[in-house]
Amino acid sequence: MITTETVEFDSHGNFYTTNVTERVRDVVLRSDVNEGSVLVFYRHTTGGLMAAEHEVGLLVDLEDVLSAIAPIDGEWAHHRRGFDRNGAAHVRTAFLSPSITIPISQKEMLLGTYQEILVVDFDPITEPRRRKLVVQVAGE
Amino acid sequence: MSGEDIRTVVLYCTDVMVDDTGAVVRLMPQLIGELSAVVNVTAMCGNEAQAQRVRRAYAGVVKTVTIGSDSGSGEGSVLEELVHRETLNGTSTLFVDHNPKRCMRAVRMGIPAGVFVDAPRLYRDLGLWGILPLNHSLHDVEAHLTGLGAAQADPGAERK
Repeated sequence: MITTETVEFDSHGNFYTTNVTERVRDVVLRSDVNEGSVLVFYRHTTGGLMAAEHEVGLLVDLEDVLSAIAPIDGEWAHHRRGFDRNGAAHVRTAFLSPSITIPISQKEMLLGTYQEILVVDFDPITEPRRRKLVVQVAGE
Repeated sequence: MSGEDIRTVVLYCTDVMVDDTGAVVRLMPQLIGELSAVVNVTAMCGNEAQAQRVRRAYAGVVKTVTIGSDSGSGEGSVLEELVHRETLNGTSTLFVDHNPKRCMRAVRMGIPAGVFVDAPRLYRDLGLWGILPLNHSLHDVEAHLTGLGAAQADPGAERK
């Protein structure tokens, strides 16, 4: 049995984090799956997913690390095409995953006590943009 | 910095205390009722209408309601305003907001901050700060807050 839903939300980009744990849990609860897994997939190229503690200091630390690796004002080859200037966001994205799979047992996601499903959007946008996650629940 | 140092929790009202329709955020009156017994709670509202809703919904538990010129558009300006007014500082206040970028900005300004997702998660976060009793289980925290709500609705419920 497989259930697939799309979860949408507005993101402000620029390292904006969105906690989607309860949105994903709602999809699991709506499904008929008691034992199986849920795949969460981010359908964009300038952000990714983490299963992490949702704590502000950790986000600041992560931003510092990724900014050191891929500075926003770097001379990115991606910009030579002239279409956009989000090279740093694409490079930072490579350090996260576009998807997470979480086991389900007795209709509960088996997340650790402090594990939250976080979306991090690196896109240097100036207005909020609609983002989409595919949430696919599979099992019996 | 620990819970012993924090004397005031400053809550950014929008989507923490009331949502953009003016509805009270689920389980927050219960949480703030318990929180106000141990620290001062200050509500930071975007305008007078929101402040009135907060005063009504949180009557008796929030003593200070302040109105800022920023209603949520900027990430930094409201923080600077609160620091300027000495509502926020790096030694005895904790800033709580639904906007993670504003929380990150606060931390970079040296102000402790917690990002708001929902009341059970905030309660647990306040436990980790040492301000409220620590309970690692969100399920247990939710049951605790729900129980407080039932007790407030029916003061005799706990004796039954």
